[in-house]
Order: sequence, then C-alpha cells, then structure tokens
Amino acid sequence: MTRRGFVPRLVRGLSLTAWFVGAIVLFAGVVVPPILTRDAVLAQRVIVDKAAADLFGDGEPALTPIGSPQRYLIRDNRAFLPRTGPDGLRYLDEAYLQRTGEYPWQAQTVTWAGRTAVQGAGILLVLGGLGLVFVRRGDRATIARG
Amino acid sequence: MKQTSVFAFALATGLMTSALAQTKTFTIVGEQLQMRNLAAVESVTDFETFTGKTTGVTGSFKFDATKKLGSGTIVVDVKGIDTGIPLRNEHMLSPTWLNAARNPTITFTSRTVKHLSGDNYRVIGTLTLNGKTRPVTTNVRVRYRAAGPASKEAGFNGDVILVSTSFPVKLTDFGVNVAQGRGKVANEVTLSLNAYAVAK
Repeated sequence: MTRRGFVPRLVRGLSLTAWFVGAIVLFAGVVVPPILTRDAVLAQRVIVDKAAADLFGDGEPALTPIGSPQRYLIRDNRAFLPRTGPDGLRYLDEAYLQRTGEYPWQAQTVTWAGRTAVQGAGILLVLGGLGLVFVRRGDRATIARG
Repeated sequence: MKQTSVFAFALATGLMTSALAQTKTFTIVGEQLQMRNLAAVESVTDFETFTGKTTGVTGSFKFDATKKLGSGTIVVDVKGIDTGIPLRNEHMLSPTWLNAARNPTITFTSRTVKHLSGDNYRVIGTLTLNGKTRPVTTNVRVRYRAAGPASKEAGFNGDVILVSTSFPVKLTDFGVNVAQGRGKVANEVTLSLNAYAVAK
C-alpha cells in the first residue's frame, strides 16, 4: 500500500487537469477552424470610384483596391458589389463596411488561432504526461522503500 | 562669334520656355469632389493581413502631357490612417511605432521621371517615413484628361491627372521596431498611393 503525500496528489490533479484541458483545446483547435472557414469568400476590398469612369470613359466605375484579395468570413451579402472579377473574385464595398462598422474576420486568422490552440494543447498534454510520470515514479519509490 | 552665342542662348531659352509652357502644375484635390484619394499600407503575416488606409492625401505635380515629363510630391497624413481597429490605430501612432506626434506625415518625392509606355512612368524618388528618408524606385501610372465636358461631368474644374503607384517598404529601414509587434506586423509592407490632381 502506497502513502499519498500532498505534493504527489497535487501534481496528479494538475496533470490530469492539463490532460483534460489539453484534449478539449486540441479538439477545438482541429475541428472548429474548418467549420468556421468553410464559407470563407475570396474577396477584394475596394472603393468605388465613379470619377475615374466619368473622366476616362472606363465604362463602369473603377474599383480602387484596398490591400490584396483575402478570404473573408462575411455573413452580410449586402457588403458585396454585384459585379465580380477574374476567376469569380468578389468585391467588398469599403464604404458599406465603414457605414455598418463591420471589420470582417479573415480565414487566415481563424486558422492561425486553431494552429496556436493545437500547439498550446500539445504543451498541456506533454506537461500533464510528465507530471503523471513524476507521480508514478514517486509511487514506485515509496513501494520499494516498503 | 559673340552674336552667334547670344543667338544660340536665346534660342535655347526660347525652346525651354516653350517646353515649360506645356508643363502645368497640378494640385491634389480634397474630399469635396466625388473621388477618392487613397493612401494604403498592407501588412501580410500568418496572423492577419491588414490594411491601414487614409484619404488624407495632399501634394502637387508638374506634368507635361505632351512631352510626358513630370515631377511631384505626395504627402500622406499619418494621423488619418485607419487599420480598422481603434486600439491598433492607437499603437500605430504611438512613439514606439510611427510616432505621429513627431512625424505627422509620410512624403514621397520624385527625383527623376522616365516615360515607359502609355500612361506608365518609372520614378526614382525618396520616401520620408518616421522622420527618415530613403530612396525609392517605382512604376507610376499617370492618367491625364484635359479640361472639358468629361472633367466637368466628374466635377473637376481644369485638367486632371490620376496618379497611382504601389511599392514595398521595409519598416526597419525607417527606424520602426517591428519586433515589438510579435509577428502581427510585417517588416515589409506595401504602400499604395492613388490621387487626383487638378491644374486650374
């Protein structure tokens, strides 16, 4: 029969907690991002420039790009302009986003968060495992001393 | 001999004056007209690709639409740059980043301009950011419209040019400590400028 001290019990408790939390975080980090990003749309934020069309006879208002195309998580379809670009690129109306105060999330940010969660979960699982090994060795030492 | 020299000098001056007479001074217009001047800076990292933008763009150009010659300066108001997140804007303007209180503007000035083809020019100039000046070489597109019904329809009262350019900038070259961003701000960002200017 082994004697349980306070420290081994504490370490065992923390280790099991780390494993439990790590498992949840790992699951979330792997499963959640693909679900959140499955409807991400490749879009280019633009400012509609009617002046250029009037001046240079461009046919339809020019679209001044803001940054480069990104995969956005957008629920509000009114943020998109009716027309599309090459390969179906959608255009996000910057004026509409400013009016509604919307700052669209990017798929890459969600993916980054998932990756970070998996790394964090890995650390928790390793620490939890090391803690349990420490406790088991302590138990064996106690048994050996009889 | 002296008369020939005087004549040659007068001829050269006359020709130069004639050339300069085609050169007009264009001033970047303000927001009151229905167009968008835009300065934007894009940072690409694993965490996020974000763009800071402002319509606070001023400056002027000298441009000869016939000879395809020109020069100019574009000034961007740093305090007006909006990255979409107020806290990030606050950090960006702080002394540890762009130090907007001490360096309220970003300035691009041309030194030499070479016409390439169509509306495209190769410009060698300087960029002043965070109080530091570095050389820059970039392609610039200059679209020109003489005063007339089209320019009036667009709300401009004179000849109009639309100047557009985009080039990479290394923030560390301008004394910005990017490491403090912990991977959320790229060292190499893309600066884009788009401005309408009118010659009255």
